[in-house]
Amino acid sequence: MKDILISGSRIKTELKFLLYSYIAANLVNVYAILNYNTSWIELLTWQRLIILIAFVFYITTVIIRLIFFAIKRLFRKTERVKS
Amino acid sequence: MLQQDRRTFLKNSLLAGTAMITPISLMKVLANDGKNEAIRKDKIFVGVIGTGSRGHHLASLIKEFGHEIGMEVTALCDVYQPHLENTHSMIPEAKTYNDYRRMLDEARELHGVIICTPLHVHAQPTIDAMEKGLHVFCEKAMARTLDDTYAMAEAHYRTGKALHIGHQRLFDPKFLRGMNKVYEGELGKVTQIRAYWHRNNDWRRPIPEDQPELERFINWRLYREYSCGLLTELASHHIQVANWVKKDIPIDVRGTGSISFWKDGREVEDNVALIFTYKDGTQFIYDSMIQNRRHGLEIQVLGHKGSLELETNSFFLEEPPPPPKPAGIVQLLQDLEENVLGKIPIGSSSWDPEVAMTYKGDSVVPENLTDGTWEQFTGFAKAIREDKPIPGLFEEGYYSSIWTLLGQQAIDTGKVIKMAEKYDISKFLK
Repeated sequence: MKDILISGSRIKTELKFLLYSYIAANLVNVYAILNYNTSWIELLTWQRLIILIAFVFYITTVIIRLIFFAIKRLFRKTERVKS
Repeated sequence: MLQQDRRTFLKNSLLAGTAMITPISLMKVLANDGKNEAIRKDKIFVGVIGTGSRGHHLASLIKEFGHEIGMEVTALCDVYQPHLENTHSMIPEAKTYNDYRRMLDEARELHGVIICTPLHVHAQPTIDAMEKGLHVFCEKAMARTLDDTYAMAEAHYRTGKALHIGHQRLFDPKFLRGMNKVYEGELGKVTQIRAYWHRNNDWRRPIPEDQPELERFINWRLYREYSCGLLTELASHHIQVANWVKKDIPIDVRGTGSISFWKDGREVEDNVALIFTYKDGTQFIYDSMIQNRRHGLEIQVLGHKGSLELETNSFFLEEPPPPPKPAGIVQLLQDLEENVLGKIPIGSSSWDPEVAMTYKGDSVVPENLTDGTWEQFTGFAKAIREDKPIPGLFEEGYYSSIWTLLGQQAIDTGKVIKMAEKYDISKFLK
């Protein structure tokens, strides 16, 4: 079986996406607290749900990126055939 | 029984101060339950007259928990030797008697007596004991006749001795707290009280096979000469609570009853229904039967803002408080879900049937640890030590017994019955 190698820059990129997702989930929580006029303590007490939402956002970015790279690869292939 | 828990509970959560007929003094009595070492050393000696099932039970409670209040049973009396021997085997140090008059004469160390004889023989021992200078705890109802009941009251006021009637709900934490709610207006205006007590048994006690002549003696609850059956043995408890809620007595009672199932030679009804009316228009609706136990027992106090179901420790508001709002993030997700999935209208009814509310209500007291049976003796011990009755306590038992007997009259005559003025005891209270 072939070993899968993940480069350092890839890990760094993925961690960045995870961090952005976590920040976005917290921003959603801030919006919800303001919109529904609930307690700011929820920023701490609902962290489990926020982490779950962060993972949902991260998985969404993974899917979007996979689709993006798949389309990009398809275009490159077509250009190579033409030339 | 968890003694420490019960005491702490009573002291901390119940006795925060009430304002009904007897409560503050009752609650202080309960809060000091067994705490004062000096009081416990100052022993109280009591005699039990009538050692059948109830007398035996109360004697066993004093044997087990009497050390808390410094109370001891030192004399036992019964005309029925098997009952006397049974209780004596539990308390062998107590002296035994077959005649209560001998017990009152000879047992000079007694401070009080507990009377658990059949109903028709409550009055004379009670009066004789008070005249001998003893305080009396008498099981409910007070007596078989109105005149006997009144004679007991007259002796109580004349001698100044305590006469406690065994209405344990007066000492039951959930009833005490429930009365707080009524008096503080949490229920709004109470205009109806409903109570029922349903059992499914023949209410008979076994008699020795070789002594059929003991039928009326042992099963005295089934014969009119000695008892009013379901009314004196069960209803009197809930009549007391209804009067307590209203801080009043009814103006009249109407009722009906029948022997509809247990047609075995008994003379008391096995199925009764009564309506008591109070002067502000409140109705107290009561029924009792012994051929179906589906609904057990309950007393419901119904006000325009809320209801109490005291036997099951429940309190309901007419407008239940809204549930706490969920967290903002949860509301946001719920809104998203609703917007995405939407709601599918499937028509609506133009009329909602008025079925019972499904809201489960709250508890009256957080923990239902006791029914007040033992706590009555805490009050009795206090009255003996202070050599004076707890104010208001006797009147609760008296009017409950009077209106129980008037309820029987209403069933017997088919008429609306009022209390004759001669049974009014307010003249003694002036």
